[in-house]
Amino acid sequence: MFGNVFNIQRFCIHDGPGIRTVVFLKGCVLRCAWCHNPESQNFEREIICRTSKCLHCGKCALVCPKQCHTFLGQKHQFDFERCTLCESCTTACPADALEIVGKMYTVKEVVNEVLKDKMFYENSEGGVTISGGEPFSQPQFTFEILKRCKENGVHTAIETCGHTSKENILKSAEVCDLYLYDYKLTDKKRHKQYIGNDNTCILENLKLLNRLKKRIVLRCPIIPGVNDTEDHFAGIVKLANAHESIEAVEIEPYHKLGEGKNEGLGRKVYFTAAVPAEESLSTAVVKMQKTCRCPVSINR
Amino acid sequence: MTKLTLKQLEPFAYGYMHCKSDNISMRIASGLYSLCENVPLDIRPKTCLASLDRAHAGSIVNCMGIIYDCGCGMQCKDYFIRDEMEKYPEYKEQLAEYLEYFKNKVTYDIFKKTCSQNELDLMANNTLWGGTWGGHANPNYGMFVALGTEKLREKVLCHKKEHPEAGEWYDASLLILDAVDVLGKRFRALSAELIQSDPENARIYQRIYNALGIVPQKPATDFMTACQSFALIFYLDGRDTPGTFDQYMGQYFTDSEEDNEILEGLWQEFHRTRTWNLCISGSDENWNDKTNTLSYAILRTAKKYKYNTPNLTMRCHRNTPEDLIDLAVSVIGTGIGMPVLYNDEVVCPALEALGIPPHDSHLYAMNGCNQIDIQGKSHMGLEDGEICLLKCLEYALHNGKCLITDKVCGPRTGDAKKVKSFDELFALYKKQVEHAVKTATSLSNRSQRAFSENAPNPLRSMLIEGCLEKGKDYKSGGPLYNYGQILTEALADTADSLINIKHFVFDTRKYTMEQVVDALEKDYEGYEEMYNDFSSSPLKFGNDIEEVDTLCADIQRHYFTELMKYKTFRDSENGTYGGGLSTFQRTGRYGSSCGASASGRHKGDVNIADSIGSVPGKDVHGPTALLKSVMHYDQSLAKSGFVMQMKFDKQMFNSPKGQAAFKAIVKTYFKNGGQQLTSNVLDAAELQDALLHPENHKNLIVRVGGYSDYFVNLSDALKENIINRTIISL
Repeated sequence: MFGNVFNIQRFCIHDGPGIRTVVFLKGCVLRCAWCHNPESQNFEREIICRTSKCLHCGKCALVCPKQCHTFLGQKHQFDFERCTLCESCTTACPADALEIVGKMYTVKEVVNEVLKDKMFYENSEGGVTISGGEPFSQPQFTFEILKRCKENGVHTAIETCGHTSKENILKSAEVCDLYLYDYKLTDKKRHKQYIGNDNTCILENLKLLNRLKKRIVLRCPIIPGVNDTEDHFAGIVKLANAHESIEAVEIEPYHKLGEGKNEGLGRKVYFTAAVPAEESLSTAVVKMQKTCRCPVSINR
Repeated sequence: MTKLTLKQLEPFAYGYMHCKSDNISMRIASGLYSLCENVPLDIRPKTCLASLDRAHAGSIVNCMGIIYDCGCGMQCKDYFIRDEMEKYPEYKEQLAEYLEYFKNKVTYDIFKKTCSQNELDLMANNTLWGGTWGGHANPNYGMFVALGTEKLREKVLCHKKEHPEAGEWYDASLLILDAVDVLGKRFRALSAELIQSDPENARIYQRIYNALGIVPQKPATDFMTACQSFALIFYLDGRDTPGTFDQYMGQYFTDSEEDNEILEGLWQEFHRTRTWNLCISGSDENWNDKTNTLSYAILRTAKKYKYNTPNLTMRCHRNTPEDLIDLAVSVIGTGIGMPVLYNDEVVCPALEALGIPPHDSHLYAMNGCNQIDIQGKSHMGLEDGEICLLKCLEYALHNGKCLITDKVCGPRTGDAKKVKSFDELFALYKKQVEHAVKTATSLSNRSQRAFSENAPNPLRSMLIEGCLEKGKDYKSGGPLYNYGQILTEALADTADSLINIKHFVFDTRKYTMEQVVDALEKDYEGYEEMYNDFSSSPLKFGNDIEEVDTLCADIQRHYFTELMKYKTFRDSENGTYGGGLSTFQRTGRYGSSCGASASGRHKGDVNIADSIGSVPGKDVHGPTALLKSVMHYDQSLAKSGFVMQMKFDKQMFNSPKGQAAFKAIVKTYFKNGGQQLTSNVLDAAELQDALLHPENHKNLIVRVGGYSDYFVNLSDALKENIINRTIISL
């Protein structure tokens, strides 16, 4: 079985407990404007051009059969429309400025990579986290990886937006120890406006996991101008208090990592927001801590 | 400024020349006695300590032209003497006489006369060196503090009776004890004067005055007297390495405010005089933990002052208290890169494999940067020499020719262009290494002989077990253990080069040996594609790739096994050589001395492997992958520091999660055979360099609000942002 993976990152310490390897699957059903991994959204392979790494050596222009690369002074311009993803330039680039995002992996390949750090998981109570994109967009691949990991005694986690079928949730519960569950917007209308769907399905699945008594960490991205509202903060606490299986709430302040990537993916128009002010966010979190039955922290 | 007398200007030379005996140890002791009698003194009220130097900077050994240095032996700095001649025309004639007299007595020069032209060439182009200096040591300062000069004198006299043939050598030790007493008395007299002339600090001078009424003659009674006694002998020994300080001083330390004040004063003195290595904690032979209140106090002091010296090391083992580790992690998090963590579980068995019994192996401490010695019992030869493996490979590929000087320096092992298999090439390389090892150990042994005959050490001989007992000097095999250590350089570069040749010449056959040899001679000019292939190949050490890691471990094992065939001059029966790897800032020297290498590195590029780690920036799969690669080495072979340097974003140390991850990294590495770990916090300078040379910094991971990524992948604006953050947080 194959899956589309855009990154396997070792030594991650913020996506679940301990030292973890995070497997990033490509493709997501949602289109959150603020996504910090915009290269993970499409299911297809694509090319990313990081101009900040470019040495302006022109090797890409020499090998490109479609003349996608042009250099105007010190500016490297790339024509995404004409690119056929032939990989000539990504191979030729000496600076890794050009990269193909998305590669087909077998389950075995992924599991082998995950098992490389087993000794570090054992000493830190870490393990594997399947993230994305959206793991439930490649459900069979995800389940198979987690199953093999569990067989090898590795702790398993899924980082998900929760927008998937009930069957998938039930199936995942057999092989997944911990869910890092996104909660983005309390207001249903705004949810639809920013994300493309309302959050009914997401809330249903959360209830289901709660009933199954699975360990859940609620992860809440805070984007100024979108969801940094009193209502939403109160909504998070209300949700956490209504689901006993939620063991912690992690607030994730918006950061600008995704913006640079959007540019590198050739997206001309993309979302931008300010980074939340430290003070107001801390105040909001302190307030939440007073009424929430589980710990609330900021993931910096 | 008051004018100095000749005796004050060059006290050591004066004492040495006016000694009535011809015995070299006696002459050295007489020089040291004269030094203690005449050197201008000073007391710094801030540090509560009697301090020896006359220039308010550097140590006593550095402020005169003719000196006996416990590390370097006899030295004669003619530029310094000429300077003095100008300042003191009245002594011009006598100083010229000194210069003439000592010209032929410099230990290094005596050694150098034994070197062949080829050996001098090999040292000049940084292929290797052997000997040249006497090395660091860990004398038993604790015994000195506990006994005092009176009881130590009795001990010397007792052994003198057993070895009448070495009478004058024992007398030299006795004279040094007299010298320490004289120094103590002079400081006491000075503090009495200062009580009157500087009433503001009278309290401190009074304490010094009181302490010096007891020590150094009598055993220390409390932390103040212990520190005064320690400072006297430590300075006279060239303020080298305190070693297991918390162990021998812990019994005097009460953790009172007053004792902490003295400790802080001493810490400032250590820093001011660039003291080498201070080691805390550790286990005894039954794995009981030896941590005491002083161990904690030292960590707190290091955290407060954030000095880059002394090198602070901490010995870890199965029973190290968790709160000590936590405190150590918080000190590392300040960004000073210390304490360096050592693993008793690897070091002690390794020492035992040499034949050192457990009750002594567990007394090990570091000296210098990171070399291992047995406190008060050994002369492990720190450092006896060094070999650059990448240079050996250069000779193997170019039939003995140095690509920097075009001279044939290595043995002519044959034309590498004609080799038909990787094994054949590897054999050529091994021959070069074998020759280098033979040369370096032979040089080192001649140097050891030069020290033994011309620069004995009656001071260290008293404080290192075995010497007094055997009637043999510290430099002549007196200590209980007399091993040797030859360090190595550019291990990962050598592996990366060999694996590229294996892959591109013998496996995929993209290039021929002729092409590779030619490309390296031309520094890849006209071979740009080969350079790209070689430098961007993912087959690099430090990425958890079995094939490369195994090859690198083979290279290490071959080198160490080769070294172990040779014995030191100090102990030609049991004194085997061993190795270590601790490059640090020397990459500049070694990198610039190597021609183009097949690792995809240009001629003279100074970005060579950092100690046992990867070539900087070539480890692109994170710290766990790097450690997995490094675990392939047989670290139990390393008798000197086998340094693993890692770098972490400061944010890592700021959160409990990050601290826990760091502890898990250390634990995993140590459980799997890691000997030591140095953890640096990324600094702004490095990040700024990564802006200019991203290709050398592919490994830097930084945290960007809730998310970690490789620094080089970030947009320019974010990079700037992180650099600013780093500057602020330091």
